[in-house]
Amino acid sequence: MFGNPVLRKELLLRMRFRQGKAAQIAALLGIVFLVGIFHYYVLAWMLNDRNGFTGRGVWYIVIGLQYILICMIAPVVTANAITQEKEQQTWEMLVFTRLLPKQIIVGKLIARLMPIALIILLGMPLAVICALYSRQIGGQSAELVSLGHFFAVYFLMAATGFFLATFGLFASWLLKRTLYAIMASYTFAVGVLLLGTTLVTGMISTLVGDNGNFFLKCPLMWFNPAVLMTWAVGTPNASEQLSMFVGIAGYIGLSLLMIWRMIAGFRRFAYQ
Amino acid sequence: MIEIKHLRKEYKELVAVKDLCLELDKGDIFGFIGPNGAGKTTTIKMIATLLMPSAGTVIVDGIDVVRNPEQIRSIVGYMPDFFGVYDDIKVWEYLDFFAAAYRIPKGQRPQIIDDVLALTDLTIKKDSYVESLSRGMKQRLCLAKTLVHDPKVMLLDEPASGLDPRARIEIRELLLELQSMGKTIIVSSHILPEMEEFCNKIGIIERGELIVAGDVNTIARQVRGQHTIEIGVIEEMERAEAILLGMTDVLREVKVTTGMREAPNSPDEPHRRAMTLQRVERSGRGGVIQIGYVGVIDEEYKVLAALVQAGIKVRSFNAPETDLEDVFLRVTKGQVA
Repeated sequence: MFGNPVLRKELLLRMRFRQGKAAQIAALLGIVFLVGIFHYYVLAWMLNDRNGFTGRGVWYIVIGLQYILICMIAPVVTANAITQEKEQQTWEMLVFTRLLPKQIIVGKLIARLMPIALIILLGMPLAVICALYSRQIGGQSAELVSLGHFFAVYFLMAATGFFLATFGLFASWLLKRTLYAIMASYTFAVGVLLLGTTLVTGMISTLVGDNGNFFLKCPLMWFNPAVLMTWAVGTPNASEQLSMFVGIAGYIGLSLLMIWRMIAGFRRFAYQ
Repeated sequence: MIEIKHLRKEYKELVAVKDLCLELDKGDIFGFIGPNGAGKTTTIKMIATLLMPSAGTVIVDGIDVVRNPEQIRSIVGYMPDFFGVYDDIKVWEYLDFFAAAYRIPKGQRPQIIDDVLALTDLTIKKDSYVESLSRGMKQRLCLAKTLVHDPKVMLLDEPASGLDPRARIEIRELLLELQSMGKTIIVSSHILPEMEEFCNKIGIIERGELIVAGDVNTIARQVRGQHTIEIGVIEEMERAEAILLGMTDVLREVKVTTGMREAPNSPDEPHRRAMTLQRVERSGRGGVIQIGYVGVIDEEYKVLAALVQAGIKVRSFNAPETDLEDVFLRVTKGQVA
């Protein structure tokens, strides 16, 4: 994978910090300090309030913050991947090489998923502590964070980030300007996935005379990121678990479909 | 090396390139000349597999660009007229990326990078960031990038655009060096005097049509209908004139310049009506006579022999530099797409 020249170049451009050594060290210490301070206060809060529910409550906060960050960042990290190359007039020279379409598409996607991976990794230690703390204190099983919860949540996070980032790349591939690609990505993430599914389902519920069960059983809601996360952190029944699985599978499947489409549709000639 | 047959590119309401035919041999430097919007960049992009032709074929080193675009990219180097660079990347990293993109093995890349940097005189900037380079250096870096996979054919779209005179001279010298390495080069440019200096063949395109193409001097002669020769005479200008006036079978009318005494056109001498001798300059009893030669190619020496045998003291006998601008203006109509 790291033999992909596009991936190496993208990582180099993203991770290069051209300021002096002192500034680099200061920036690193700053990040460590902020993350450390956050961890400290969260842990202090939990230790002062010896209640398993607090552990679970903090776990909700950590997971929630990570998920919101991912949903906000994922659409935009890839939305300029191809349009920026066209705008800065490097696209022609890139396409004119012997790079395969999959090298270009996959290289750009993987490199730009790094911030999402970083968000997940930075929050994971605290999430682990909160989850373990909730178990140590004891209490009713409904208040515990199980291993199943843990994996479901992080799998959903990764799938959502992957899906939204892939859509951003798809928009960048399809459209001519970075601004349009960013707008399309956020419109899809917020307008379609989050609000659109809710509104359409609400309308259908009203039409069918919903008895309260239809709303979350509507297949559209299986792709709503807020609903999926609610199921992942909660205690879904078998039906909801299946719906959650379909939703996550849908995210991954659609992402792979978009990747395939970009590669297959990559013209042998740059322009027609 | 390059065969283009009936190449055509159509858009909805515009035919950008019409039925273009061209053949180039290995080692040719072909100057592609034309006004803005004539179709130069479109043609170059079709050869470079960046644009799909609407019709026609382009064969480069036996490979069809439409059927095998990936193969073409391994033997063709392309330098666009407008190009960007990546920020936050060093010169050697930039070249290393493109070397990897052209599938050059990792072990060979450092030496190749050093070689192309030396060729383009950028060795001193190897560890500099690309964005810190001047315009001329970026052009040279782009040329280095174009050379990194040692292409047989190079397509250069306005390589000297926006450069100062020194940088343009450096690019020109580089192109001549590339020619000596056996590369076939297609260069498009508006700077006609420079094209004369390093191109052995030119093509003039206007509104998508290739009006003329071929050897520079042959085209100039075709356009003007004659081959211009300047003869420097030390003395006896009038006798030299009289001798030349008598050679009506190989000499014809030439361009008028200042300080001249026009030779009389006598209605009793119809064979002389088509010919006029013009003195370009006078210096004492000598001067320079410019003639238009329309005889057999490579037999211009007969004119010199005639003068020498008549005892005329000839100081110089040469063809002035082909005025490509003159050729361009005569051939084109000043129409843009």
